[in-house]
Amino acid sequence: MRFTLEVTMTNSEGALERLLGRLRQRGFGILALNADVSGDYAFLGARITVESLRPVEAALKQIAKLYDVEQVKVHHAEQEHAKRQNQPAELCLSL
Amino acid sequence: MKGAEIVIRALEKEGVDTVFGYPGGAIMPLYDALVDSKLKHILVRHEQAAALAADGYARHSGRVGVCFATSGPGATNLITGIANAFLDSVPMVAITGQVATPFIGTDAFQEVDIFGISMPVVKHSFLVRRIEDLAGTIHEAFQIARSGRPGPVLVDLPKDVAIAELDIVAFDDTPDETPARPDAHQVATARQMIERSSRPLVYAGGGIRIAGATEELRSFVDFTGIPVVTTLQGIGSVPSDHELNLGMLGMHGTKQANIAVQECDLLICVAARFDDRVTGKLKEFAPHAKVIHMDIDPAEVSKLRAADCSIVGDVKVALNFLHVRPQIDEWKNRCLTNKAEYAFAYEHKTEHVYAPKMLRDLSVAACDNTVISCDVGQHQMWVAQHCRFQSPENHLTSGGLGTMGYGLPGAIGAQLADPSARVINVSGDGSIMMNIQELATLKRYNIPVKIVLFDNQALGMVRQWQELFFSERYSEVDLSDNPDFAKVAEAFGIPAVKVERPDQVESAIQQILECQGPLLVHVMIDPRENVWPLVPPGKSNTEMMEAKAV
Ligand SMILES: Cc1ncc(C[n+]2csc(CCOP(=O)(O)OP(=O)(O)O)c2C)c(N)n1
Ligand SMILES: [Mg+2]
Repeated sequence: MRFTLEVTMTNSEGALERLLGRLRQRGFGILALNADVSGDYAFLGARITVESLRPVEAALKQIAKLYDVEQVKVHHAEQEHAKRQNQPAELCLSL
Repeated sequence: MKGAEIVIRALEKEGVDTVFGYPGGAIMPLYDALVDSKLKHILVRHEQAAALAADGYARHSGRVGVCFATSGPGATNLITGIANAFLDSVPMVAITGQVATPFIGTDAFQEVDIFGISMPVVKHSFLVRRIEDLAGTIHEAFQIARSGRPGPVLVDLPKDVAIAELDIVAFDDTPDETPARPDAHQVATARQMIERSSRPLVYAGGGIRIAGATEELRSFVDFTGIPVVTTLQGIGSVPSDHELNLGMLGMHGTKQANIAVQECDLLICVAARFDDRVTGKLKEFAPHAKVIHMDIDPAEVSKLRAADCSIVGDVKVALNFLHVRPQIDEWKNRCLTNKAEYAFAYEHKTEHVYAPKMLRDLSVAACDNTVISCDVGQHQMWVAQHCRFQSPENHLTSGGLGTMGYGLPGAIGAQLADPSARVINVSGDGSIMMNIQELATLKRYNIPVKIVLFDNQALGMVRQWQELFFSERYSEVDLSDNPDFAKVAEAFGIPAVKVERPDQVESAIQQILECQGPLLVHVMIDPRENVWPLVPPGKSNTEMMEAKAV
């Protein structure tokens, strides 16, 4: 299943790395990523599209457990299995 | 005040009395500040042992264990111990020296990115770049380590921050958050499910010790009369000799425990996590049961097995709300009949010492305040199966990571946390060599840990699997050229006793109980001895292999 997570976290050292590492290790392949710091550098907002055979709740709970994470939402859940081969992963990282 | 002094003062303010560590270049400022502190520092002989001793200290005492290491190799040597704490949810703060901030990222001498390396095995981590953040960070690290589901926290401390000066230091003492109260609606559902069940079973895990909920679990069991099975980490949460305790479930669980799980209609999981060593083939685990899952960590609920009712929060509180009386006499009798029928037998007619019997006799002879810290292998499973425990803090065993070499440092940590306890490390001839250097630590501080070393001249557990699942193709499991362990101990200045025949066991146990200082008891056992019962990996818990009748 493919879905998009919207995560707000404290902009502490390693926050984004922790988020990506947790998703990878728990079996969520990252297809697209966009992240921005807030104007005062205090927060980091990330929007990540992932694909996995594991349920959305597993990703939500694992992300919510990260100490830096303030909020996590599933933005968009697509029931169908995505045809990954035909859709090149886009990576857009602006920090 | 210097950064290093701030760290030491912050540790003292957290109530730390003992730290385990090993010095080196980048952490020298901290070791310098230690000279003027009343903290007790235990110099281990390998950083892995510092982390594992901090783990043993924490598991036994419930307080946060603390370890220090220098940058580079010191820090990487901690990793196994940190991972060990992570997988068993042990509260720990690991402080590592780091090269000075201007050198970070330049491949400086003894620079490794320990912050990055440790990321998947810590609950959280900090790299403190400013002295102003130091005091607050240490407090935060302790709060994170001990709150909710505990775990290890790493604080990486660059050398320039440690030697910088700060005039006014504000130490943080914000109180810890209290865990969430259980949801009333879920509690009501759980009560109803228990009341209506006819074959309920408690499946008790390591979280009971962590939550300090032993008393609450026992009252719940006594009130409801529901039989209990425990995980490896749950051993002792209900006393081993409690009538309703059916023993450990899972791969090396008792037959009566695994049968009860397969037959129950309601599984009340209290702070356990459906680990694969427990469930065997997940699809066939407790196939007739509805599940109530109680845990502090919402991510554990329905992770592997869907829960019909979940109570997220402090099990110490939640258990008190579940005092109902289901009508389960028939079920209880069935469980108790099985328990009597499948009880372990200890007659063993060979010329060899029988480790299960020796462990049984030792734990019966030892008083309640006896801690057993295990290594990993067959001997670890024999401890779990055959030793009696009155409380879960007294059984220290590396479950999640299965770390050979845990036992001796774990025992050292427990003994320092609780000097009046009798602490025994049960080890194997493979495992002991993983941290044998800590015999020097026993000697230096005269730590009265007793080591019972079961020598089967093999990596026995691996040998057993090769015998059973790899057509007896033995590959690299022979240890018949072991050193003379008694002589090794003596070289470290530790007395040793050798046990080669069953008739020597009794006096060895007597020596373990009476000896004031450290002691190593080297016990030769039959290399062919296996751990039974055994559920083959990937099989259902109904498919237990048992010892062949002799
Ligand atoms: C650090 C580490 N390396 C390898 C293993 C795999 N392993 C599990 S049990 C075992 C054998 C342990 O031998 P020993 O300590 O002699 O115990 P025995 O099984 O013989 O009682 C091994 C190699 C492990 N658990 N930990
Ligand atoms: Mg062995």
